[in-house]
Amino acid sequence: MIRKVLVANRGEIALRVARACRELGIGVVAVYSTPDRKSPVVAMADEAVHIGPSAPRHSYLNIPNIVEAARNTGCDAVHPGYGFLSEDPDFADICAVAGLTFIGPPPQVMQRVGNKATARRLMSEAGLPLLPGVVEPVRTPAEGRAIAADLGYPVIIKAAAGGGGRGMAVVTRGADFEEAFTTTRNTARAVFGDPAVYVERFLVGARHIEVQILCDSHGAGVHLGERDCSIQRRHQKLLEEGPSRYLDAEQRERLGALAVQGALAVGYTGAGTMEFLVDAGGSAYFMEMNARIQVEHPVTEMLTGVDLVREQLLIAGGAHLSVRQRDIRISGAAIECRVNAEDPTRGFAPAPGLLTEYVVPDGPWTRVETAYRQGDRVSPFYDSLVAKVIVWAPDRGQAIARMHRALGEFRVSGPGTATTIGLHRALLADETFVRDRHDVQFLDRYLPDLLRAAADEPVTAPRTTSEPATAPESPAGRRPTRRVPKETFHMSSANFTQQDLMDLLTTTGGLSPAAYTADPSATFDSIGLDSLAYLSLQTEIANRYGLELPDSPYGITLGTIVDHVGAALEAADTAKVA
Amino acid sequence: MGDLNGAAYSSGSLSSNGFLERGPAFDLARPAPEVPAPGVGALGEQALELAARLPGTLSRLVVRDGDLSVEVEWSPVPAGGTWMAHRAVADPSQSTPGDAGEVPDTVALPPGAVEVRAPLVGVWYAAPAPGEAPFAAVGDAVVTGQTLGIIEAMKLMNRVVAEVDGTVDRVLVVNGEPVEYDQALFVLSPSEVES
Repeated sequence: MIRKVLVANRGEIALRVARACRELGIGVVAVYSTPDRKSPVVAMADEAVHIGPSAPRHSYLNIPNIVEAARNTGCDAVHPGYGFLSEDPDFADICAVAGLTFIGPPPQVMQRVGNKATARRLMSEAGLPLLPGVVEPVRTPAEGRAIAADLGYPVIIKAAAGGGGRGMAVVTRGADFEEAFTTTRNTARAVFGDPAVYVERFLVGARHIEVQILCDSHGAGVHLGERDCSIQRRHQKLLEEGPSRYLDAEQRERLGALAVQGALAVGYTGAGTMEFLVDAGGSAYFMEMNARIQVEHPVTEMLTGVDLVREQLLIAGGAHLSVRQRDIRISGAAIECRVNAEDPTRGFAPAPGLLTEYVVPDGPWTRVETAYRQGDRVSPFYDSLVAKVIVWAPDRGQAIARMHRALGEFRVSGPGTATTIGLHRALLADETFVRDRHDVQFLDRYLPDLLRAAADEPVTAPRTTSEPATAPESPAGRRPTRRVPKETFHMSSANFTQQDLMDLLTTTGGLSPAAYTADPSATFDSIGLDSLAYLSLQTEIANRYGLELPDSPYGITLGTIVDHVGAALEAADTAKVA
Repeated sequence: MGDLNGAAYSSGSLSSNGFLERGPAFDLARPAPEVPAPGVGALGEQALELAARLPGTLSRLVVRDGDLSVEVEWSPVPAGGTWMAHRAVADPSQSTPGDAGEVPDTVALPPGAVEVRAPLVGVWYAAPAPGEAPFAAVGDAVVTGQTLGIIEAMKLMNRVVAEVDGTVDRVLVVNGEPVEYDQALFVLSPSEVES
């Protein structure tokens, strides 16, 4: 059992780790940079060591200072938190050599898993499904373009050494490929020091679903269910929740088992997360593995009652897993909102203001993780996360109402302050989100509408319903909470034709013009489109024409869709004229 | 009119910069000497003691003898420590607003004193090897670039050097002691400051 841990991080996660140590009777040593010397984790630690000035490379990334601080204070373990050195194999290695237990996977495992291309190959060998794509790095634009043509557009070019949503580019047509390829390589080289990129099919209308796993050092592993992190702005998560509507119980078990299988196959130990993209039919494709505790880990804790940081500490101390798969129950629904000190109305510009007023929410099943107190200044030197608010409720509808209420209580004001709270509340009131119809592109696409909604914020709870609407509604009878995007809506009195549908299917589902058909009795799968493409079409038609298509493409012909949309347009025209 | 240390001091007049003229044996930047300079007299002694105990930098000192009088003027210690507070980490590109306003250690520094602080975390070694004489002891004169001690980190020996010429006023760490970033190691009294 570990006796004394050096917390090699700062802010809310440092506090989180310190609390878990306290509950296990483990000693806590905090390290701090000059501006963090009055932080709560420093105040609550048994000892604290000043390790450098504000710049992360001189403080929280300063390996010699951190290791020496651990040795000087008699620590036997180091917890790296998330970010900073948490996925640095050199740091893990140096800790091991210095006789410090690193709370995370072994360095070689971390290295293998950290490289996206290597991880894909390893997971593929372990039997996990991958998106169609090339596992080996792609060297030239010509090579990449040939691969992309093979896979079918849209494709995504990704940096192999990348992470955190950076170093990625989506390409919808061959003509754009070369430029996107070159740009991504340059970004990868500049940001990650490694220009290697690979190419994958890009799933439209998918969900980002990740599975939490725990593995001990004795070959045992469990999964603790999934988190749906599809609400992302430029690949940065803003809101996470669980469980996900895209998985039924059987799919959840299968995905979980796959995740554990993959982790054990590479020799993983500790807490980790397997990220997947899942299409509307519940088919999952492995994306990457995160070899650390994650920001959104509290969502899983609320759903399962398992303390993940505590488990990390016990596993690192050599213990066998304290839970068996059959003991893990996922109950109710949980949501986390990341409250960032950014101004969404000014392009999410950082707002490191003074928190003259800072009153966090409270109440039933409402959890707040924050290292700020009233009177603090938001740190301009590190990330903009101010607080995480997590709620639990028996179902998703109640969880949404609870989070909306909690964020309404959260008072943040002061000179220079701005947060994403308003945007979060608008999101929680948005019909697409409430009906659980969004996908990973949702926030990027509808951000302007959400910002408009945030500007005139509703005070009362959003209309939350767990049942998605199944019957088509006419636009006249529907009150959308979101304005239809101007640039796509053309209210023409001409009928909607099959050609229009083909165009729409190209935009939303990547249908190649070669597959176009004028036959109204053709079906979705007869033209080579899957349930995923259908979902995208469904969403787009709902947005443009206010028409709700049935959930499943089975038994529906293209002609039926054309007729429905045409009828809806006519009805709208008639309503206008009347 | 008292004759202070041989300096020409006629009644009612002060030296041109308002400072009490002193012979070369006395330096206002130093703490008050234990033995009063010859010829100072009781009032002068009291003035010197007062000057040494100021909570700031002496800027004006007037002493009269006839009808007794002492006038002292000092400026408060500016934020960030003594006006010559010294960082062993001298690279200006490293300093950012968050690092300024460092609260100095609780020991009151004599005016003009310079602190030498640790640039990294590690273990302090005062001598080149066990049993040898320390690099710098109280009273030693040191010059810019001279090694004052070693901080060991990750099996590497990092020298800590003086960045000014001066004398070691105080040694704040002991051999073998763990030190943290920015920890005060020495107090130096710099040699004559050029005007």
